Amino acid sequence: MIIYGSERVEDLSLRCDVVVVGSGAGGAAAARVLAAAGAKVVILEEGGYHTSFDFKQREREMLPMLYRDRATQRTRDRLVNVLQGRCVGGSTVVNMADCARVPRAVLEHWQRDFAVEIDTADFEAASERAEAALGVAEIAADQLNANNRKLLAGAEQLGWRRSRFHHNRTECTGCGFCLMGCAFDAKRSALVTLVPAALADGATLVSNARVERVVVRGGRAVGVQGVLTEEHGDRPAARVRLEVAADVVLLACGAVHTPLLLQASEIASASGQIGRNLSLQPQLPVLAVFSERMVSFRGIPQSAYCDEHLVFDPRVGMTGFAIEGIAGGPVQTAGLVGASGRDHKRWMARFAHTGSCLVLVPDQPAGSVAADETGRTRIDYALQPDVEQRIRDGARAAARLYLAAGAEVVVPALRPLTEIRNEADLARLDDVAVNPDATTLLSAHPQGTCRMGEDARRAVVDSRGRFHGLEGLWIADASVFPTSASTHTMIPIMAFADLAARSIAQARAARTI
Amino acid sequence: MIPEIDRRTFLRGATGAGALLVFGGALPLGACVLAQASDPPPDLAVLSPRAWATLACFADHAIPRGGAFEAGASDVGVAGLVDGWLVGADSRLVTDLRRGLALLEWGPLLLGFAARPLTALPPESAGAYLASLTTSRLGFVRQLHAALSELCLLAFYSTRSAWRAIGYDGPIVLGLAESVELERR
Repeated sequence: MIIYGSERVEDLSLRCDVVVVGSGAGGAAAARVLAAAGAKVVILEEGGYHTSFDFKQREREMLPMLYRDRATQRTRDRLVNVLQGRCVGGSTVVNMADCARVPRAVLEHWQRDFAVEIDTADFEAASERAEAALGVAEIAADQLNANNRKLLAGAEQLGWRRSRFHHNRTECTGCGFCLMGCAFDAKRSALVTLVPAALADGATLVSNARVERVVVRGGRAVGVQGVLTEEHGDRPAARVRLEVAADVVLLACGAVHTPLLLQASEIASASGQIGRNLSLQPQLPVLAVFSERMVSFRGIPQSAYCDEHLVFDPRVGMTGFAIEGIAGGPVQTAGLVGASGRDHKRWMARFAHTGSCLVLVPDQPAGSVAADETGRTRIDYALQPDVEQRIRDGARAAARLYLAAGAEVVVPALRPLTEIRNEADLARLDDVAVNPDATTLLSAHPQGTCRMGEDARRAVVDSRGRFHGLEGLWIADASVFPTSASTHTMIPIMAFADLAARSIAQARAARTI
Repeated sequence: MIPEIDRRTFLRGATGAGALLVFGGALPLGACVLAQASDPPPDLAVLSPRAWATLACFADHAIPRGGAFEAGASDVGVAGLVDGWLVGADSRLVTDLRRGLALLEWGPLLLGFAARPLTALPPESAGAYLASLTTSRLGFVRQLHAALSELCLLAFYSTRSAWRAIGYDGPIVLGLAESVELERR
C-alpha cells in the first residue's frame, strides 16, 4: 500500500513491527528482506513518490524534485557539494548506477581496527544478493560512449590499470540522463526493484513523510513522530501529524540525516561518536576538449575507470585516487568551468567536444554533521593535507590520461582556469590551491557518522546495525561505515542493510525483540 | 551544482546593505544601465524589482552577449528565470539571496568603489566593480559572486537558446508544454 503524504488531510497513525525511515539503498533493501520474512513494515520517505513518468530530463526541474536542497547542500566552508537524493528510492534514483563491492582489504581493515564482526563470506553473500536484486552486470564494451572510450584509450596508452564498471541497468537507451532519474526505468533503482518488492510482500510506503524524532519509552525505541508535508518545496510545509508505533525503528536516512535525527531525538551514544567521523570521498571534476565531436552527454555517463593509483595502506585503508568517466548536462558542465564572461562562453561553445572525468579520493574521517541554531544542516569537513595533495596528483594524472588520448586541452575544475595542453603544462598543477575560492568538490558518498563496531565505547551501533545501549533502534545506511568504503556505496549499503534486516528477522523469530 | 548561500555570511555581510536598503527604497528604479534598463517581469514571485534589476546586471556581466555565440543572459531573461526557479526554495536560502543581492547592489558604496548603486553605474564601471568581487579580500564577497554566477549559469543553460548555441540537442523526453507546442505546429 502506498500512502501519498502530500494528499493526506487527516493525521496519520500507524502500528507495525518495523518502521523504516528512508527508502534509499539501505531502507529499501532492509524493508524488502523484512517484508519477505513476514514482518509488518512501514517505510517512511521524506521525499515524494515520483516515477519515470515524472522524469523530464531537465536539470532545472529535476534538481528540486529529486535532490535534497535542490542539490545545493554544501559543507560549511562551501568546498564540497554533498549530493543526496530526496525521493522514494533515495540516491539510487539519481546515482550513476555503478555497482562495486567494498574492497576486501577495506573490510579486513574494519574487522581488524574497528572491532567489526562481520564474517567476510557473509558480507560477500549479502553483496551477491544485492547485485542479484538489481540485476548487476558489467557494462558491455559497445555501451561505452566516446568519453569513456577515450578514458580507457588514454589509460592503455600509459599502461595504467583500467576497467569497465558494473551497473544496474537493463536495456539502457543511452539517453545520458542518469542523474535526473531514468525516464525509461532502465536503471534498476530501489524505486523500481526493492520498494515494489517490499510492497508486494505487504509493506506500506508513506511518501512526503518527514520524521522529526524517534520516540523512546521505557529505555527502548518504540516508534517515530513527524509530519506529512506538501509535495513541493525544499522544506515543504507540514500538512498533518504522523505517528508510527513499532517494535523496531530502523533508520536509513543516510550519513547526514541519520545522526541529525538521533540528535533531534536527544538520543546519545556512550561512544560520543554520533555525527562524527564523516568521510565524503571527495571528487574533483576534470574536463578535456577534443577536436572531434564527443557528445559525452549521450550514452552511459560513467562506464569506465582507471584505478592505477588506488593503493591500500594497511594503517588507514584505501588511499591514492581513482579516475572515473563522467558527463553531465549543460548546467552541470557550466558550473565546472572556472572562467567567466565571454571566456566561459568560449569553453561552453565546445560543450559537444568535451569529455570529463572525476578524480575520486578515498579520504579518512574528517568531518561532522549537526544542526545549527536555525535548524539548518551543518556539515563541517576539514580537507586533510594528504587528501588535498592526492586531489592535485589526481588532476595531473587525469590530464596526462586525456592528453594521451588525444585531447587538445585539459582543464581541472579550478579557478582561475588552468589549461593543460602538453606534458610541460602539468607542472602548473603542482601548487594549485584546493579551497572554496578555487574549486567545488563533489561528494556522492557521505559515510561514517554512526560508525559500527562491537566496542560500545568506540562505536554507535554493533556489527549488525543494532544501536549500542538502546533497545529497538537499528541503523542501516552509510553512516555505519567506520571509514570510507573507498568505492561507490550503493551495493555496500545494500549488503549491510541486508545483514541488519536478517538479524532483525532472526531476533523476531526468536522472540528476542 | 548550485551553491548554498551561507546565511551567517550574509547576515554579517549584509548588515550595512540592509540599512542602505531603507535609503535605497526612495531611489528611483530603472537606472539599470547594464541590464539594458528593461522592466522587470510583472509576475516576479520571489525577487523584488530592485533585486531583479541587480541580478539582471550581474547576469549580463556573467553571461554577456557576443563572443563565441551571440545569445547572452539578457536574451533569455536570466534574472526572471532565477526568480521562477526560486519558487519553493527553502525560505532561508531565499532570504540569504535577497540579502546577497542587496549587498551586491549597494556594494559600490559600501566598498568605496563608487557613489552609486550597481544598477545606476555605467556599464564599464559596473563590469569593473563586479570583476573586482572575485578577488575581494572578503571571503563572503567572493562566495557571493560564485553563488550568483552558478545561479545565472543554471538559468541560462536551461534554455533552448543556450542549447542551440553549444550543440546540445536537449532532453529526449518531451515536456507537456513542448508536446502541446509540437501538436499546434
